[in-house]
Amino acid sequence: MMRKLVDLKIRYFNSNEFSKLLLWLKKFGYYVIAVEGLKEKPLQVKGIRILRRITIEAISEGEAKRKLRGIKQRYDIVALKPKSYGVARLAARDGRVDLIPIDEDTLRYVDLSEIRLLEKSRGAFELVLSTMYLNRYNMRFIKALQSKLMLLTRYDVPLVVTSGASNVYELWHPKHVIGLLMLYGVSEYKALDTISFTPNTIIGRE
Amino acid sequence: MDTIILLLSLTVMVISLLSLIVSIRAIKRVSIIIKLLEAYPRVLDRLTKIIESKKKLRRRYIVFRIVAERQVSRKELDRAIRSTVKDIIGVKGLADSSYMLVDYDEERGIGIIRSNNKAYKILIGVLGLIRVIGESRVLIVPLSTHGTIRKAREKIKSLTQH
Repeated sequence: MMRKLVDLKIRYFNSNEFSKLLLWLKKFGYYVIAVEGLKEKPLQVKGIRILRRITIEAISEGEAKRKLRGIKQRYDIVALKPKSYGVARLAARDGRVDLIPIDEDTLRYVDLSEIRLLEKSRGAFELVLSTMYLNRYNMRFIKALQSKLMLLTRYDVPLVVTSGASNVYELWHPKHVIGLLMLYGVSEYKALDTISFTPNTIIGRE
Repeated sequence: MDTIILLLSLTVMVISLLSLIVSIRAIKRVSIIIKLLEAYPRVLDRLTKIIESKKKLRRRYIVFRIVAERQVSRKELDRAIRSTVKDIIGVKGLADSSYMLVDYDEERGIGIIRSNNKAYKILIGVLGLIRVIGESRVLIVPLSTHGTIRKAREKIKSLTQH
């Protein structure tokens, strides 16, 4: 049976680009996407279910709590980008937070205590491929990312891979994702889980 | 006559019982091995790696399609793939992947890349990192992977017919 593929980060640029993007996503086999920057929520377009997503950033726990208040009523998927250890821990234990993005700034917050907190809230870490593409020649980032991915796979921590695409040329085919993660030492089946099983459980949680 | 049938049926029953006992024992052994492998995933990983390393090197043909703002020439595409693979996995990686651009139709943007069974998945991953060729934005979409060039060319033919 073919797996149901999910992309939890698509950025809305304009309607023309968005309709082209949906066409390609359908060809690639995606059936649910979460869109950032969408004003009105269309439920289903071209056979793809569309969810609303927001990424919020916070420096302090107070700021994060204030921004998270009532957010689940407006958005289906909530990602919290931590800018301090306190916010990172809050993101890991708060049930309203679905995803914690991993990039060059937040990579340092991925550690054992964060992983243990995340187990209780059933959230997931998020690897955005557009940031990975931008940092493809950043040796320090690649090294750190490889060690963190090893840590996540060793402890079976849920990881979601998203594209962060705003046009067709920024999209990622599922085979691209699998190949790229295999390059970082993640097994093929776990790589496939990051775009199918794990995001599906997050959608089921809402 | 009746005694012979009775004896035959008895022997069949005994044989079936024995085979049942043997199969139950075998299932138990297999389940113990599966449980052990589940408990130690590293052992499973190592075993799969050993099996992978013992595999014979075979050719794989990746059929791809380019989505680009303008037409991309064969020379440009080949250069872009080679330089990206070199940047990401190095010259040794490029040699190990046994990369070669076999066919490429510039007008339709469809082509075939040759690789091997050990490196083709990673090569596809690296193809995802090619986003600009010359000054135009591109996306290389892997369509299918085949074991023979004949099958890969058949796939391209079927694509053009559709």
